[in-house]
Amino acid sequence: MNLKLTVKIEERKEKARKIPIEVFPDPETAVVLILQHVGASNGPLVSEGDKVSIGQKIADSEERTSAPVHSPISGKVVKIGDAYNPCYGEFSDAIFIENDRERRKDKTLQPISESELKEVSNDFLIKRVREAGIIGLGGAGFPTHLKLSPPSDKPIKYLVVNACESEIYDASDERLLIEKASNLLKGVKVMRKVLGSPEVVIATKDNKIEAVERLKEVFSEEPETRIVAKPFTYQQGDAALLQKALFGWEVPAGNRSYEMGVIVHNVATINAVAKAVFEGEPLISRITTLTGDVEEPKNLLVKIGTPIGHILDHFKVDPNDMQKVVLGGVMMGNSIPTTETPVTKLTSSIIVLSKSKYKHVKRRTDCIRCSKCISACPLRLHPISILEALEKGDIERAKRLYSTDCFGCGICSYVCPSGIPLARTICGVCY
Amino acid sequence: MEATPKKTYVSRASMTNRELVTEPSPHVTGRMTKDLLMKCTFFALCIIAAVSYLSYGFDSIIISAISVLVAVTCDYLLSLIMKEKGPLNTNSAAVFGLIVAMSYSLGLPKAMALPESLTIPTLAGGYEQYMYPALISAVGLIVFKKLQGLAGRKYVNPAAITKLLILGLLFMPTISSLVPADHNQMDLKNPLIKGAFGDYYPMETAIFGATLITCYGSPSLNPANPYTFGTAENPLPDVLYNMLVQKYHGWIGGVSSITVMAVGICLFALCRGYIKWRITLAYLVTTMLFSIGMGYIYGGDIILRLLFHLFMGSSIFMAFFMATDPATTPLTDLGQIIFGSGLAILTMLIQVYMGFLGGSVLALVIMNLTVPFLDRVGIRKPFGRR
Repeated sequence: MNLKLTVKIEERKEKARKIPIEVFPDPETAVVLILQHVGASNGPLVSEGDKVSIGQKIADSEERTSAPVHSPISGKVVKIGDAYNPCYGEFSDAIFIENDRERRKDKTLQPISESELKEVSNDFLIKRVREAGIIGLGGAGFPTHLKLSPPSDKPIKYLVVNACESEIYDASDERLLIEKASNLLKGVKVMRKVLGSPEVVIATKDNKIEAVERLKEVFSEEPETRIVAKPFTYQQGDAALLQKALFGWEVPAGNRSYEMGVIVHNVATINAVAKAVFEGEPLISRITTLTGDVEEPKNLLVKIGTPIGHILDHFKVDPNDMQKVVLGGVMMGNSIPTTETPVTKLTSSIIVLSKSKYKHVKRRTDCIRCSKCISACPLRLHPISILEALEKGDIERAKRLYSTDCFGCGICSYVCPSGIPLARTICGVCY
Repeated sequence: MEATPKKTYVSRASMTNRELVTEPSPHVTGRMTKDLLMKCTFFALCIIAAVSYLSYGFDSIIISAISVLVAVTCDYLLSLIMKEKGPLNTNSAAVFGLIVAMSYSLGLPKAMALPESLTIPTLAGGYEQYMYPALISAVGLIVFKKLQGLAGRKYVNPAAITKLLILGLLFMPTISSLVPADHNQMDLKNPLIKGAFGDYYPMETAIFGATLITCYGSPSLNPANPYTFGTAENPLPDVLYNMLVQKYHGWIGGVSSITVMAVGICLFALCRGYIKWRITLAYLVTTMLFSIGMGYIYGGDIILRLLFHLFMGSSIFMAFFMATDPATTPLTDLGQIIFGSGLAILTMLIQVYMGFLGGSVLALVIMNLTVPFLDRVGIRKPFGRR
């Protein structure tokens, strides 16, 4: 681990990691965003007034780089309109479905049993993953079926299961490890079959004690599987940096990790794959942590499309005391302008920051050129030099400083004593 | 369309009517702020100011207080005039004021005052000793801190440039103005005019050691310290004590090398990563190597030479507190090392070959001007691009 990571960020998940997963009731109205992944855009497959059932595909596209979305509830499409999309930081198209409480299920995806797994073809499994709308649930949102079909001339040596859960408030992956480890094992089996039996490396933080024990128990029979529990830092939650920590190599910039013979998947993604293959359930629910300045944190199995406000009301979070609500982790997630925003596939956590306890952040002042952002950047970029170039409009210089390599971990903004929003300006992603 | 939605959902129009605050991520930040950094620095400088009481009595405290007050007042007044372009920045102004006071050459304390004829007007005794720091503080804050800040970034250290300009302009025709007169008399330096041609340079010769001993080991110039530790035959302990523990030679900032180093290192540790310690380290190492090299070339006692170049004047203060000013120093690690080494070499050259003691501020200003170039040196290859 010869990576210089000088900045350590303390975790704030002591309470949340002990709370068992609770099934959250279905919403009255589900708001399903049409575009929840990174890739080609989707179009709706239903129109106003249509009846839909649980797990029915309601938006898709012909493009290979897209992932469909499904109805989380049975009911009627009441509207196709705008809703705030936290993945992109802007309002985008969503399908509004009113719950009719009939619990009709769509039977398109037929479950297969574990014994059948050997008989089915890889193409079937990859198609199943795509049809189930599974995307990288760690926050990247990259369609999983693409990661499962690397070019045939690149043999995959390692399947890395990223269970670090580096976002400092989140505990949803940890609860998943503890409660659904057997499901994880099934998912890993599917992935190993598809990728040609690579060695499995499960990387997790050593402070997830219960989860590590559970994993060791469940994976004891599984061949070629290593469980690596180390004090990984926040930055090492990133796939490239995690590989550096595990194997010591640096994935050449601009290359996907299969070039190195490695595929990295988040635990939640693998769980979703297991569900899609063995239960025939597409990605219509996910585990999310409700935490932050709430009385009691919760880990919830919640339907995608449930409005955040519905969850907050259910747990009686004081709406007058809310300063910010952040989806998907305080370091890289986005704060939402309205509580009507729905849960998406990427909502790994809902963090409420209250007016009374949360003192924000620093007001932006002039840069004092302390160069802390430079020493802190895990990618060895020069954030402040890039920012200066960008603010001067000198895009060429910014590119020469490799601004495009930034993945927006937010460490530079975190350490900046002048409160300059370096990460988001450089990464250029939504906020 | 028999049923209308029970709730009215947001549309694009409601973007202006936000219920919650949205800000770019990350939504948590580290504890360190600019103000905290300045407060820590101010506290560190206060310790040095307090120690200077032992050497200079209340004079140094009063000078420090005046300088800080002037800087803070100017900052306040400017913030009223400039509004958003120059927001109130009391902590930063206070640090600036204190640095001005610390790098001001006060001269020998009254208790051991030399005859009137030996002192230059800036020295202890008159009202000048309060006036000049106040003047430097005011001009420095207004012109070199605030107005330079308007230009986008600061290029030169405000305290160094102001001191250089004001004292240099006021006294340049007569004698080297950055140094108290007693040093002029000691043959420890030759003023620019005198030393330019012909005359011997004490620091280049074997006499150097003897000169330093006369100045710092002899009670004739330092009545407060009459052979406390050494004897007339072996004055080295007294020289050591002077150079390391307590000086009476005029700079508040350089009053005690050990205090400066201890406070400096504590500050570096406290504000880990926010202060450019590489500059200080490079400066100290280069100075040491250079002194040893000169010792071999010109002869003389190497230990005395090391002591002189490391601890004489307030250069040790400069190395820890002025050269590490974040705004006027390079961003990259390599740039900082080059900056520190360059500063050391330049200081030595100016002091030794130009006979210009107190030349460290000049060296600092010159090095500051190289920063825009040094910023482009040593840009690392990012992850996965080696």
